[in-house]
Amino acid sequence: MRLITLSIIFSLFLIGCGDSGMSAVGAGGSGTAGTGGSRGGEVIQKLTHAYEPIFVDVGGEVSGVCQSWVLGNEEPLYVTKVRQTNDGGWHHSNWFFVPETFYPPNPEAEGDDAPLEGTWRCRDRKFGEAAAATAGGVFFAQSTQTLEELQEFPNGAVLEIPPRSMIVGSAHLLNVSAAPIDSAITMEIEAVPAEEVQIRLAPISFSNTSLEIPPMAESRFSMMCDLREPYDYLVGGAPDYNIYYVLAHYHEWGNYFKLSFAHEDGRRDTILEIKNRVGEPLGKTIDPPMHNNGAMGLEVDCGYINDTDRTLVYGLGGQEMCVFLAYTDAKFKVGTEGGENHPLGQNEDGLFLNETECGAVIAAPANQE
Amino acid sequence: MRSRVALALSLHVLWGCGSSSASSTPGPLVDNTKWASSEKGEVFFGAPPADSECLSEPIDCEEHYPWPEGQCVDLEESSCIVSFVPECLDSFTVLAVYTRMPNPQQPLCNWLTLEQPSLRAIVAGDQVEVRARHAKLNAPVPGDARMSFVIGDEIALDYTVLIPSDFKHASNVWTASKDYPVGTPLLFHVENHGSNEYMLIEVNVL
Repeated sequence: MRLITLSIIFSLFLIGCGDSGMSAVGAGGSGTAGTGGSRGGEVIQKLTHAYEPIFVDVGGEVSGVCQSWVLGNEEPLYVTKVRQTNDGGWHHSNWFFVPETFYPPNPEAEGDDAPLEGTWRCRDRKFGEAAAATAGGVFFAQSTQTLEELQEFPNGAVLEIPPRSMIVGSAHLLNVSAAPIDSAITMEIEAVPAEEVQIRLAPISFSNTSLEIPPMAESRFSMMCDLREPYDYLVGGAPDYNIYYVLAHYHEWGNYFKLSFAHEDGRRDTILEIKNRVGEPLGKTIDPPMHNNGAMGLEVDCGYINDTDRTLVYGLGGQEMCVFLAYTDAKFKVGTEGGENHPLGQNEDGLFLNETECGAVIAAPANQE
Repeated sequence: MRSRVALALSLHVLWGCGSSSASSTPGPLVDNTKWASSEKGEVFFGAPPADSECLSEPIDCEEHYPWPEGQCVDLEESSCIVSFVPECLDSFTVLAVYTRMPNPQQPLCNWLTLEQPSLRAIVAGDQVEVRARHAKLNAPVPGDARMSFVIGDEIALDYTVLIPSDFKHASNVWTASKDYPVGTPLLFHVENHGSNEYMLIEVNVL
């Protein structure tokens, strides 16, 4: 049995838990707070924010640029819908909610007067997707080159944005037109009062931190974590939950991702599989949500084509990752890392297979009413 | 006398067909949904290296291939491995060239020549703009990348860059020294090392 521990990481998750008793929404940030419509008697709060336009020259590409929107919310926001529209050229962007002080300006790189909200180089504030997802959560993943897109959680589920949060994203723009562009993205949030919330989504995140990706080869790493003990300890009984959303994260050598429910008899029910897509995997709403159907845990598989002459390990720049973040309606939050990795040799297709033990399981209660 | 006039008129009409007195119309020279593999590049680019290889047919692409006639393809969330595809990008249909092969045991796509007939006539003096780009280029060992565009018997764009390289927009305005009728063979050629992405955006008679 693994020790159930609370870590600093999940202290952040706990900070992210708003008080369910609060229903008022105070939006004091720079966005426009809508007067709210109604749907079947419920009051819908709308917030809109236009991020600053980003210039992209002819044939140009912009990446490594981050944009932040300080919500200024004194109370939690219970988000049911997120809509983005843009002026074109937005190749891809992932957005996260984090505590508003999580990415403070860097005076050395940006000057003394740099505002908290605005446009900045991601590296100046050490922005990283995995860290942002851990500190807060995934907010919105823009599909490639879409001009308008709606993300709506099914079954009345909401994403709870804690008080004093900021929406931050890393932008990747590409201009193939024959003229320069100044293109902005606008985000619109719909939120409902706390009393209208049916399901609050809670995060589960695994990181296989024990990667040893062989050079000049294709390889796969599989890590299964048994969630029965933490679930029984924190919630009671056997795991019983649905998965609503999955965001995979790996770097440029990644070519495969699979998240599955793992059953005790060895069966696997695939929740999301991404094949052959190199780099920049996308977030995906699972609609309808997928129930664990008695599965004891989750298994994450990541694949890589390492065309370098060195072994890649878990890490930032020049290394690889195997991370996912999923939203569930479970009454717990879970995070794990990799334990010892066991190379299993090559299969008949020449892939180097690896099995990684599940590392420490860190769990905490969620969605307390 | 009447027969001489008729002869002169006939000759005038004949000369008008395919001669430099014909006028050209500005517009697209290529249709990026019409590219096909070609072996006509040797006269311009030399013989392909012995280890050159590119996928002739996409892999894991049952949902999309064959590509819908005359349309661009959106490969998001697809598992396709392709060497070239008419891809939807903003309002453009671009020709995207991907050089990653299914596994590292197979040589990368390092030499690719595609062809199609021109959509419109070019007359001497016409200007043709070729616009292409490549993404950030990486390779295990440094090497060269090349993108070229051929109109008939002339190279209209010849772009080379050392790998590794940041993304670049490669464009050229080429002036025709003679006439090229509709249907003139056009070639788009890529030489590569590593797992990279190239793109022909558009070719227009100005």
